[in-house]
Amino acid sequence: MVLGQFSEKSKGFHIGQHVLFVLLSFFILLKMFSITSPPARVDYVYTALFLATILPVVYLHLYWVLAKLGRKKSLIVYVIALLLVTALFIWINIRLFDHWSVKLFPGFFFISYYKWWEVALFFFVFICATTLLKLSKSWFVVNRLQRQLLETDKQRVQAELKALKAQINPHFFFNTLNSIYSMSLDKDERLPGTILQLSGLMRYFLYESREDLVPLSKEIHVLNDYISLQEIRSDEKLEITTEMEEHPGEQKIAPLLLITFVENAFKHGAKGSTGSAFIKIKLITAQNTINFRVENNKGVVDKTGKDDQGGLGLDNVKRRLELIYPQRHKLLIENSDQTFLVHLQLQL
Amino acid sequence: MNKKFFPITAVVVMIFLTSCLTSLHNLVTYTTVVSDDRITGNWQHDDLIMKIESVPTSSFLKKISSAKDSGAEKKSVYDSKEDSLLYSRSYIIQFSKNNYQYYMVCCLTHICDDLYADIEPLTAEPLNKPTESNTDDLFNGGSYTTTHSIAKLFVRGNELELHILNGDFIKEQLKNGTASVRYEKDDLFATTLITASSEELRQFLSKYGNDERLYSSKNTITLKKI
Repeated sequence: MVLGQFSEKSKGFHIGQHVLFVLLSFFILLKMFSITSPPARVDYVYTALFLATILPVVYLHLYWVLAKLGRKKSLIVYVIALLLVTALFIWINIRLFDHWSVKLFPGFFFISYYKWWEVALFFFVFICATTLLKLSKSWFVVNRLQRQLLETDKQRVQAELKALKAQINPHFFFNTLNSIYSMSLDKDERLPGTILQLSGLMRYFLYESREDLVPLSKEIHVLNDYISLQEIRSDEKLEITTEMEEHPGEQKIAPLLLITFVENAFKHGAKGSTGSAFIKIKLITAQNTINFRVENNKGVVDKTGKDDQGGLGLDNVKRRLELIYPQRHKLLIENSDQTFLVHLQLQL
Repeated sequence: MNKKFFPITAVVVMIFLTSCLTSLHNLVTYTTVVSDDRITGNWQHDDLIMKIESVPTSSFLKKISSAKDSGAEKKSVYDSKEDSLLYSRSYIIQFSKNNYQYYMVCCLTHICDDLYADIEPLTAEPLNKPTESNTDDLFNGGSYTTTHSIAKLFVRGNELELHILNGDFIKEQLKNGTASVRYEKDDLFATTLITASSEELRQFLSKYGNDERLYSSKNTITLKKI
């Protein structure tokens, strides 16, 4: 849709609104001007003539004085222009009723029942009423545009989130499959159970994580499976401490948010460490808020440099937090020489 | 009331046998009244002799003033300050017909350089001693409202022309819905009374005063000075 352009249908509707306004004005004025009931023929002529002097003022005001001069924010110029236009048509109204109508309508006899200031009052009422109509109409247009913009923005955000999720899955699976590959080379007997766990995770990633929100309990369950899976492939030097609630309630969370931090800890802590390593994971829920904390010591890989995939997961999750939980999250990352700490406070 | 209403509104019709327009309001007000002494004097139309005098010097005013002094109850032409201003520049028309002495007040005004007269019946007194069929004052007593007839005046030498507004034409326009003038219609007596204000009447004549359709030869009366 191109804004500011009218389709044939809306153009017809636009013209219809003006026709309706003119007809409504005509019948209101006819009711006011008629001295007999039902109105006589002369009353129709009288009303038509009166309206013929009002309409130019109304439309000149709406489409020239207000539209052009109103934008310049010069109140004095606007008021002077409005007064000039109004004065001109008051003069035309008086001349029309007192003189010109004699030749225009020789078969009718009528006089103007209104003095110049009363005519001015009619003009004023019409100008005010039509300006309010115009402003209210503009308000509806602005409102509609705002809704369109919000809808467009929402669609953009959803597309971006979809793209971010698509980046998470391969990122995780590549790492996990690499681990399974290592286990198969070692002919590790825990391999079948590990594959089952991976299967469960894949189901979650591929199907259940398509939802905007998933139960927090499900996310925790997946997190535990993931940690178990990582524990299997880790050596004994890695000390993993988890403290997570088993039954957090009915709260929901965006899928795959927390796992990214855990994955990051395993990758940059456990994998890169040459000595004893630790990962501490803690999740506390309180009403609508969760506090999630992941701490790990840093391995040699992190001290020597950042690999090209290491920052991608964390950047993704930061962007997702901004999109899904704007003003509702606090993410604290402490990157010291020895440890890496992530503290996420999230308002669900 | 209606018995009184009819002769009061129809004085001009009765006298000149014209179809004049009757208005509830005076065309002339104390702010628009003018004097033109060319209309004063004795005038004749067929067998009717008419006397026109300025109100302040009229025999009618002297008569009611002396009647007031003697304590008799008579209707005064001066009801208010505005009336005083209006009538002090107006004229009394008097004539005799059918054993009655008629008095009418005539106020003049200029509209677009033309001279217009507003004629209002004032009183009608019997010429002879009142009898059962000939009451004291035809217009006095009872509740009635006098109405006004409007005419355009031309003074040409010894002639005074009254172009009385054609009531039939105006009524026809009102009936056809081609004229917008405030009016009341009495279906019982088939009379139409224009109720437009003095200002509206003036505005109407200012716009249509030179339209020949408003007048007719039947409604034109020529008085000769004698």
